[in-house]
Amino acid sequence: MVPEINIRGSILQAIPAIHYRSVFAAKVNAVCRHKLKRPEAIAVELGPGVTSELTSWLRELGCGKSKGILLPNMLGLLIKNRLIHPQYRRTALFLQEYYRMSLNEMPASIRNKFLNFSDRYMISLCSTDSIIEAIRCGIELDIPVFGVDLDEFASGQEKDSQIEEPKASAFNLSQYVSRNEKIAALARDPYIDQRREIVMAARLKYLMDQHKHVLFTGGLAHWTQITTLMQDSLIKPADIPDTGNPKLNIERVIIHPGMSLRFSDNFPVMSTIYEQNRQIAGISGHQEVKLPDYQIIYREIIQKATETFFGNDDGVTGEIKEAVESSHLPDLDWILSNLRLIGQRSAPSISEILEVAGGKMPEKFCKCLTKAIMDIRREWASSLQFPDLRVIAPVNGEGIETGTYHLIKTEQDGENRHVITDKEKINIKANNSEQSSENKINHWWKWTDEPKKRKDKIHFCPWIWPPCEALLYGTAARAAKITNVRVMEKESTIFEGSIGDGPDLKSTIRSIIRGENRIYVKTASFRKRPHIPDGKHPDPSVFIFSGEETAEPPHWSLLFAGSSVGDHVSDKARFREFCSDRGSAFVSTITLEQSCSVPLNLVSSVNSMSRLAGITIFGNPCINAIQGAKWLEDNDFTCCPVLSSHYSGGFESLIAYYEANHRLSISPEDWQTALILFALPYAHEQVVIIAPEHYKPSNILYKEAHQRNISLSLVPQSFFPAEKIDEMRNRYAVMPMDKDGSTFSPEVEKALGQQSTQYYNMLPLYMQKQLKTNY
Amino acid sequence: METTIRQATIGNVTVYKSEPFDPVNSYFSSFIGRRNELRLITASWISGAHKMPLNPILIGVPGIGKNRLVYEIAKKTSHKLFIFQGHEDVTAEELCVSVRFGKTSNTMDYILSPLATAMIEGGICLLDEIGKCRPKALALLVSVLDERRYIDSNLLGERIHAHPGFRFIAATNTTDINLLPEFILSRMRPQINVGYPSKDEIDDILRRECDGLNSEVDDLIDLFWVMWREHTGQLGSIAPRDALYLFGLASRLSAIGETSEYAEHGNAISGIADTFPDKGLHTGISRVHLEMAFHKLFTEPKLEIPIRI
Repeated sequence: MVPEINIRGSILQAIPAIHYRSVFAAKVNAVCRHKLKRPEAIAVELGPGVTSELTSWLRELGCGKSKGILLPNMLGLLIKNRLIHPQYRRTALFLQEYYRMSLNEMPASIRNKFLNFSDRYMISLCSTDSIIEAIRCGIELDIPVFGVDLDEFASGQEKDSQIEEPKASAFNLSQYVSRNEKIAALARDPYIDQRREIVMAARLKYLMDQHKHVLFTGGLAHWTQITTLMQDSLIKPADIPDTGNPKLNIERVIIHPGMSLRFSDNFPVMSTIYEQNRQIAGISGHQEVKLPDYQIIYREIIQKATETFFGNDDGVTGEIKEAVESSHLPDLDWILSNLRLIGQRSAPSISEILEVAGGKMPEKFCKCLTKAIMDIRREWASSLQFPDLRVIAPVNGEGIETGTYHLIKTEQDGENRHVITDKEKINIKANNSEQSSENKINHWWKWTDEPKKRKDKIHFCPWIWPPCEALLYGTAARAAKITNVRVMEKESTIFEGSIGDGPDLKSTIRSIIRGENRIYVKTASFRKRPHIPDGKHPDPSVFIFSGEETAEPPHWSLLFAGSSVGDHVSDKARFREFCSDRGSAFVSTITLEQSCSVPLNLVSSVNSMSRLAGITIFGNPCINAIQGAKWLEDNDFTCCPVLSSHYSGGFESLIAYYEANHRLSISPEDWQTALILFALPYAHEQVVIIAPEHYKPSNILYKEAHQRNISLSLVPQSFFPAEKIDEMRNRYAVMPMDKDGSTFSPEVEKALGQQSTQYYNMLPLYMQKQLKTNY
Repeated sequence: METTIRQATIGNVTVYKSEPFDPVNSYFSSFIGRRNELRLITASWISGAHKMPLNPILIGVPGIGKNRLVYEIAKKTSHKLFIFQGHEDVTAEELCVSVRFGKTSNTMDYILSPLATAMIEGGICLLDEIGKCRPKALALLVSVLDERRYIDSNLLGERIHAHPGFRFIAATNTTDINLLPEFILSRMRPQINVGYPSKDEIDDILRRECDGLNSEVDDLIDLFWVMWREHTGQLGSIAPRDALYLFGLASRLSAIGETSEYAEHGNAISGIADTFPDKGLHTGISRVHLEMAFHKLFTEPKLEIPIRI
C-alpha cells in the first residue's frame, strides 16, 4: 500500500522517501510495474529544468531500451546556484561593509562559511534514489515525467532528526510514513520549504487535472505539508514550464567515489545489488526488488575486512594480529553494536564504522575495512567510460576548508592513462561529518581509476617572494656577524703532570736541542674568535619562532635550490655526474610552517601563504635558480642535503637521508632540536640559532656539535625589531614570470606593496653580486 | 566541612571518600553539539553479561570541551562524577589513596582518591590530563582498566573492587598522547578525537552566552568571525573556551563603560561580579569592546624584554 490522495476522480499515489534509500526506490519500481497501479504520469521533487536534463541523460545512458542497463555509480549534475537564504541578509550586508567589496568578489570559502552559500550544488544519479528510479520508470514506460519543484532555491542550515531506519525485509510504506512524517518534517526550513511545497502542491493539482493517475515521489519531510496544501482550495493548479529555467547552468560530471558516499544508500554496494535485482518497469509483475537488510551488508564488510587483514602478510606482525583478534576486533564489534542500539538502527553508518575503527584498530585494518566498504562489486564510473566529463573530487591535504572540491578535466595520454589537464577549485555545500568521512576514505583507500598527474608536462612552480627570503637570510647574516665562533685549537704546553692529548714530539725534541730538557704535550682548548660570514661558503642558520597555538597544526616542508639549477651551472658534466651519483634535488631550506588563507587583497597575486614556526636555512637564499646554481658550484654541491628527485617522498626521505648519510636519527616531534640537527652536518664552523630568550638547546645538540667541532651560537630574537621578526615569519609563494624565478610581474609587486628587490641590501655583498643579472 | 557521609569502610579500615564534582547549573546550563562524541562514549560504556565497559580516552587541544563532554554525560546519566587531575608529580599510591594527619594526635586519616571513590560508589571517574602523569604513576591503573577491575592499595593493605556501575574515561591534550606508555594506551580504547566545533555550534554557544543581547549578537558574532579569519586564516577552528573568554572580556569591558584605558579601572573590577545579575551579563557589548578584547587576547604581541648581547 502506498499513500494516496484523491482529487476530483484523479489519484495521486505518493512515495514519500528518504533520499538514496533503496527500499523507497523499490516501491517506485513496484508501483510502476503493477498492471493496475501503473501511473499515466510521474512527478518528482526536482525542478523542471533539472528533471528534463536528467531524463535526457538517462535516455542517453541507455534507459528505456528493451534490455536493462546498470546505471553507472556514480554520475551527477553540477548546477549553478544564485540564491542566498534571507536569514543571512544582515551578515551579507556586514561582510560587504567590512571588506568593502561586493559578495561576488569575495572568496568562495567566505560565502560558504558565513552565508551558507556555494555557487554550485549537486544532484546525483544514484540508482537507489526514488526520484532517479521514478525518472527511469517514466522513460521505460514512455510516460511523461514532470519536475514539480523549484529549480532554484537557497539552502538553509541543516537540521538533524532521528528517523526510523527503513527495514527492507519488512517494509510497509504507509505505516512507515505515518510513523515518521512528523519527525521528518522537523528538519524543514520554514521559509524555503514552505514556498517549495506550495509550488509542488499547485503543480501536482495541475497534473491531476491532466492525468487520472499520477505517481509522485519526493522527500518524506515535505509530505505532511503537501497533503495539507493539496486539500487547500486557495492553492490553485499551476502550469509546469516545459524546459525549466533557461538560466540554469548544468554540467554533467563524474562523482569521485570518495565523495559519492553522501549520495549513496547506507553502503555503496547497495547500488549494485539494487541494479542487479531491479526489473524494467515495462515488464509487469508483482515481485518487488529483493534487497538485503543493512545488517547483512555490514556483517559482510566486517567479514571481508577481517579476512583481508589476516590473510595479508605485508608489514603486520603476528603480535598485532593477535591483539586484533583477541581484543580489538571484539571491542570494535561491541562498540558498533552499542551504537546501533543507541541509534535504533540495524547497522552502524559508514561514518561511525570509520570513526570507531580509526580510534581502535591498526592502520592496516582500517585500510582493509575501507577497501571492503568501497568494494561495490563492479567498477566505479570513471573518465575511462566518460572521457568528456569532468570529475568532481575531494581535495586532499591539510588546511582545506570544508566544502572545497576539485573539478578535474582529464585526457588520455600515450600510455592509456587518464591524466589531469585542468583543475578548478570549487565550493560545494558539505557538512563537517560528511567531509570527515570523506577524508578518512581518501586517506585509507585509493581509487584505481584516480585521474593521474601528467608526467611529461613541465611544471612551472611558484617561488617564495624574494623579499621574504632576503629579510630572513639578511637577518641570519647579521646574527652571524655578532657571534663569536668557539673553535677548538690544539696547542703545545709543558708537561706538568697531565698527558693531555699525548706527547708533542716535535716541541720536545726542539726543547732538548735548545738544552731546555722539557717535555711538551699536546692540549686542546676552546677559543672564541669573531666570525665574518663571507657569503660564499655560508654556514647554516636556524630560526625558532615562539610557538603559538593555532588552529592548523604546523607541517614540515622542503624548499629546493630550483629545479632548473642544472641550466645555470658552468660545469655541466660535473653537475650531471653528481646528480647521477647522489641525486638532483638540493634542499635549500627545511621549514615547519602553518598554512594560512591568503588575505583577500592578495588572492589574485599570491598562490599560497604560510607562517613559519621554525626554519633551517643552509646558507644561501637561492632567490632564483641562477643564484642557487652559483652557491652549489661554489661549494661543490655539498652544502645541503640532496634527495634523489623533487618528488622523492619529501620529508620522510629527508629523515632517511640523514640517517643513511650522517648517522643522525632525527625525530620530527622535537621540532626545535630537529631543525638544528638538520643544520649541523653542513656547518663549517658554527650554526647560528635565532630563538626566543628562553630557548635552551638540548644536550644532544651540544654533544653532536662538539663531536663535529661546530659551535652553536644563540642569538635572542629580541636583538631584532619585533615587527621584522613578525614579517619574516610570513612566506608568500608567488608565480614568477620565468621558470628560474628571476622576474616577477609588477602586479605582484603592487599587491604586496614592495619591490621584488626589497631587503637585498641586507644580504652579504657576495650574495648581492650573485643576484645581479650580469654576474 | 566533612560529614560522616564521606566516610566508608574498606576491609577494617575507615577511609574518607573524595567529593564528586557537581557541574553548577548556572555555568553548565545547556550543551550544544558533540552528538557523535556523546554517542561514542555512551556506546563504549554499555556493558553486557560477558562484556566489560570500555575505557575511552578523549584527545584534543586545550579548551576544546573534553571535560565538558564528560560533565554532560554525567548529568545525562545521573552518575556521580569524580575528577582526578593528572600532573607530573602524581604517584602510583596517590592514584588510590593518600594519608593526612588526623584531628586527634597519633592518628592518620586515609583519603580515597577520586578514582577509588568512583570505583566503590559506582560513579564516573575522569582522569584529566592523563598524559601529564609519569608512566610509573599509572602502573596501578592497569588492573582497573582490564578485566580485573580492582586496585590494590599498599597503604590500606586492601583491594578495592569496582562497583558494576563504575565507568572510566581519561582526557589528554593532543601533544601529550605520545607520552602515554603502551600498557595504558592499549587499555584505553576507543581513542576519541575531539575536534573543533563547527562555526554553527560556536555561534550557538555564543548566542546562548549573550542571551541578553538579542539581535545585536549576530552582528557581533559576524564581526568576531571576520577578525578570527583575518587572524588565523580560517573560519571555525577555535576552541569554545577561547570564544567564550573573548566575549566574556568584551562584556566586562562594556561593563566598565570605557573603550580605552581600561587598565586604569582595575580597582572597579572586583565589584563587577556583584553588580551584574547572571542573565544579561553581556548587555551593552559594542564592536569597539569586541575589537579591544580580540586584540588583547589574540593579536597583541606578547611582552618581551629586549636583551642585547
